[in-house]
Amino acid sequence: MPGVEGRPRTIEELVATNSYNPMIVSDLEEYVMMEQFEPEKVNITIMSRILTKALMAMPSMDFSLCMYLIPEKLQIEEPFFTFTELSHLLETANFREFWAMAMRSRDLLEVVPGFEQAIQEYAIHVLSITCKRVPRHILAEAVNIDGPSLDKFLAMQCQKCGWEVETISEGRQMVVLPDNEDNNPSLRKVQSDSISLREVARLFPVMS
Amino acid sequence: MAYEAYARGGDSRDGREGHDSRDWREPREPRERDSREYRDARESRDGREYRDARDHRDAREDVRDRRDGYDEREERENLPRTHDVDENGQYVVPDVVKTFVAYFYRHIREKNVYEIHQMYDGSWNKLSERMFTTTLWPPVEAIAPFVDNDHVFCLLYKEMYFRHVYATVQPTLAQRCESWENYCNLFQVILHGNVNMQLPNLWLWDMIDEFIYQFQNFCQYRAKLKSRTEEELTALRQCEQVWNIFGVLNYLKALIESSHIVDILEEESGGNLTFTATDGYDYQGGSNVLKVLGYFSIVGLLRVHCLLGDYHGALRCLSPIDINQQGVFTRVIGCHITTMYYYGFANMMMRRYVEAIKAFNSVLLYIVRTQQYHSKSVQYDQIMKKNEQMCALLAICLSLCPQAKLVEENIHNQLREKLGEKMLRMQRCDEATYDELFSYACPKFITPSAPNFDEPPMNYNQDAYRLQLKLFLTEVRQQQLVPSIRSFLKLYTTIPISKLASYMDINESTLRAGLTSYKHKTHSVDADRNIISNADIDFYIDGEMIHVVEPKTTRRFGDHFSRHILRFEEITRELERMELPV
Repeated sequence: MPGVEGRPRTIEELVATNSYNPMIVSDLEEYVMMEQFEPEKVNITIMSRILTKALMAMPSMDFSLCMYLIPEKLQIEEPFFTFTELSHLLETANFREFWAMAMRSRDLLEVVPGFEQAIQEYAIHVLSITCKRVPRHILAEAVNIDGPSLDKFLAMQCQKCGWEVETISEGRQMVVLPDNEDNNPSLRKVQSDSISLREVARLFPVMS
Repeated sequence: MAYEAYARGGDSRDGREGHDSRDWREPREPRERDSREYRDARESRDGREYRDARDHRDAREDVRDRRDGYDEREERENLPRTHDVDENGQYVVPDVVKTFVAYFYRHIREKNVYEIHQMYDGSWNKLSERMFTTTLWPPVEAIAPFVDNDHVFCLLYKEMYFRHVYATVQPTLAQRCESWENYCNLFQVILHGNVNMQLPNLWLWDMIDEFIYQFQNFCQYRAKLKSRTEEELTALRQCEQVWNIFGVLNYLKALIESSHIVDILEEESGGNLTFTATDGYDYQGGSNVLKVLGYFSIVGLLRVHCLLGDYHGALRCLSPIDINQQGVFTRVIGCHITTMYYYGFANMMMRRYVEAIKAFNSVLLYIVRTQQYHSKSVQYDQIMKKNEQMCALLAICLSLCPQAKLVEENIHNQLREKLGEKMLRMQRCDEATYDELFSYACPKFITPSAPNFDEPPMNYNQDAYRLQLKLFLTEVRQQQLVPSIRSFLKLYTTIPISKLASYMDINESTLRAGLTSYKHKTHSVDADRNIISNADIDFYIDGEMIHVVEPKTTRRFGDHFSRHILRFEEITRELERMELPV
C-alpha cells in the first residue's frame, strides 16, 4: 500500500502539532484503519492521541468513526474503555460527570494541547442550539469554569461573540446566547413548495 | 448441427433479418431507462432502431427458423447429461459447450456487445441451469482449443467459471487461490492496456461485484479456524497474499487511476456528458473495459470500506459519482442497488438519517416500479433480499429520525405492512428489535487481517459484525430519551422544565441533559462539516421554559400534481391505442 510505511511518522507529527486542526481527522482515521489491517503493529500511544483528537472534533462523528475500526478486544481494555465513557458522557450532554472523569484521566488527555478548549467549544455549541437564555450555573457546569474565572470568560464572550449577561434577581444571572436558526425559529428559512427542474422537464412532452 | 450454424453464420452477417427477434433476457426497465445501453450499442453497429419488447415477444416464433448466429435452443434434443472423461483421461467437452465458447469468443473478437450480452446473461445461465446444476463447467484447458487458446478469452472464461463454482459448490482453498490469481491476471492485462474488447456493462459490474464477494467470502472462510485440520491450517498459512486486503484495495484503486475515470466524471459535472451519454461504451473502435471497470471500482471501494467499518472512507471514495443523478451506475440494476444500499448504510452509521432515508426511499421506489421487469431475472432473489434488507434499514432510520414526509406513500405502505409492529417497538426504544433488524440487514462485515496462526485456532468470523452491532446499539441507547421527549413536546407549545421533568419522572438536570442531547442527536454533520437539523419536532429553551416550535407543514402539491398529470397522460394514451369493438 503506497504511503503506509511513512505513515506512523507523519501521524506523530500531526498529533504533535500545537493547534487543533479538524482537517487532519480523516488522515487519523486512515491511520486507525491501517492498524486494523495489521493489528500486531498497534501503537497504543498514537491511538490514544488520535482518540483524544477525535473527542475534540465533536460534534462531528470522528470518535464513533474511529471506534468502528478498532477491534473489540482492544476496546474493552484501557485506555479505550475510558475514552468510550468520555464520549458517552459528551454524547448525552452530561457535562458535570464528563469534566470529573476528564480530570481523573488528565494524563491521557493532556498530551494533546487545547483539549479543554475544544470541549468547551462543543459544550457552547450544543447549548446555543438548545437555549436562547441559559442560567449561569448551567453554563458554568457545561464549560467547567466558575467564580471569577467565569466572569472573565463571560466578559470575553460578550465582547467577542455577542453574548449578554442579564441579572434576573439577587445573585441570579442569565446568559443570553446569540440568535441562531435553532434557538430562534423566526430565523429559519421557510421551505416553500418548490418543484425540481427534473420534475418540470418530465412534464414538457405532455404540455406540448 | 451447431457447427453448421456457425459456418453459415460466418458469411451471412449482413443480412441479419432476424436479429431483433432475440428473446430479451436482461431485466428490463421502464420508460426513460428503456435498455438504452444495448440499443445504443447496436445502433452504432448497424444503425438499426430499437424495437419495443412487445415486438420481441411477437417475433419469437421466427427464432427457430433462423440459422444466423448461435441459438442454444437448437441443441435441446441431444444434450449430453454427464461430463465424462474419455479413455485417455481427457475431459470430454459437450458439443453444446464447444459451440457456446466458439460463438462467445467470436462475438467478443467482433466487439458485438449485443450478442455478447445475450450469451453472457442468457445462454450462459440457461446452460448452467440445464447442464451444470451440480457439476462444474469444463476446465479452461478443455475449452481452450475451441477458442484458439486465446489468452484473454481464457481469463474471461475462468472468471465466469469460478463465479459458477462459488454459486454451485462450497469452493475449496485451491479454487479460491486460483480464482484470486485469475482476477490478478485479468486485471493486469486490462491495466496494461492490452485489451481492445468491448464488453457489456453488466458483465463488467459483475466482475467487480464478484471480486469483492469472493474477497469477503475468503475473509469469512479464513476466520473460521476451529474445526480445521493441521494440513488445512498449513495450507492457509501459505496463502497470505491470496485475497489480501492491500491487494484488493490496490487493484480497485489502480483500475480507478489508470482509467482516469475521476477526471472524466469531473469533466461531466461541467456539462460534458460524454461518458454517461454513451453509458461508457466506446463507438470509436476503442475499448470500454478499463474505463467502465474503473467506474465500477468506485462503487467497489464504497463497498469494501463499508465491509471494514470505514464509513467515512467509503463515502469519500464514492464522491466522484453524484448519486442524485442518473448515471452509468443506475443502468445496471445490481450496481444501482449496491450503491444505494451501502451509501444509505454508511450514512445511517454516521447519523445522517435524512440522507439515508432519501437513498433507501429512492432505490426502494425504483425496485417497486421495475419489479415486473426483473421478476424473470436470475438475480431476482438477490434483488428481493436486498429489498427486504433496505426496508429494515429504512425502518430503523425512521424510528430514530421520524421524517415520514421524506418517504413515498407506497414505500410507507410496504413498511407498515412488513414492519409496522417492529417500528412501533423501536419507537419505544426496544433494543432487541433494533438488534434483530440490524443483524438481518447489515452488510457481511469482515476482519481484514490474517489470523495469528501461532495461537490456538478459534473462530473470529463474527467479530467484526458483533463490534458494529454493539456500537450501533450504543448509539440507540444514547438516544433513549429522544422518543419520550418528542412525544411530550408534541402536546405542548410551552412547558416549564420542572413540570416536564415531573411528568417524565426524572430530575431536572437529567432532563436538561436529555434535551441538550436531543438537539445534538437530531443534528448531523455533512461531508463539508456543515451542521444540519434533522428534527421533525423542535424546541428551544428560554431560561426555564421550553418553547416548542410548530413544524410548518407545507404540503407539497407540486409533486402530487406532476405525478398525476403523467399518470393521466399514460392512461389516455393507453385508451387511444385500444380498438373498440364495432
